[in-house]
Amino acid sequence: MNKILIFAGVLAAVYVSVFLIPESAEKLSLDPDKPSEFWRYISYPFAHLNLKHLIENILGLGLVAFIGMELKTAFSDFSSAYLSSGFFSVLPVWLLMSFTALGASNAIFGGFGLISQETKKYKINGKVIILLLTGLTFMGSILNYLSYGFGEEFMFAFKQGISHFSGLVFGILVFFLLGWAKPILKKKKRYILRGDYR
Amino acid sequence: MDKAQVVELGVGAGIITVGIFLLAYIRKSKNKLKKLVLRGGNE
Repeated sequence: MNKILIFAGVLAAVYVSVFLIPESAEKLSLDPDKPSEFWRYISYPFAHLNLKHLIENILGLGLVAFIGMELKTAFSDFSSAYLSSGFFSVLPVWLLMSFTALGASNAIFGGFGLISQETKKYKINGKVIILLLTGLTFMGSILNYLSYGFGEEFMFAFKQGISHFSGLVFGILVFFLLGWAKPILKKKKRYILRGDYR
Repeated sequence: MDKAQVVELGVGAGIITVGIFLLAYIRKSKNKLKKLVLRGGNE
């Protein structure tokens, strides 16, 4: 079975297991009022607020995994983009805007960011995918602004949108970083066979 | 914790819908390319 699908299956099982822990959302979320509770910096991508949140993210994970598999994305690339986006991409936004966050969607957006670049293999324009996902990401905040103006609800929707967008950008950056780093990190032994044909 | 103020990092129905269409589109594009390659090999 494909490694990416196995990876997605294991992650989905982890998400469900963590969700079943009593008060997991309160204990594991990224909380600006509790900066010394260091486990929160690694636990928050695995915690979910409610069942709808959990199901949405498991479906999103499944989709991005299937797409990665169809594009024959290397498992190392997919897992690096997914995990690093999940852990790190929301941190700059969180530090600037200070809010409580939890969930796997930044990792999923990171996966989408990576695959938007991988689609070039099959002559599919990745920029269209990025534009579409960006539009959807900010649609909530745009609709909120049109309905209620520049208020608390708009800011809340905007924080969500910019967090997701950071995941998307992070995934794209990981693609280019891996492209640059791979030749340096890989140690290939080249054996040059010299035949003596005298 | 005030759950109303927690930013849910959740993908949402829109992204899932786009993802499904994207998966279908990628599979269709791959099949198209495969047919082109096979046709080219038979010429």
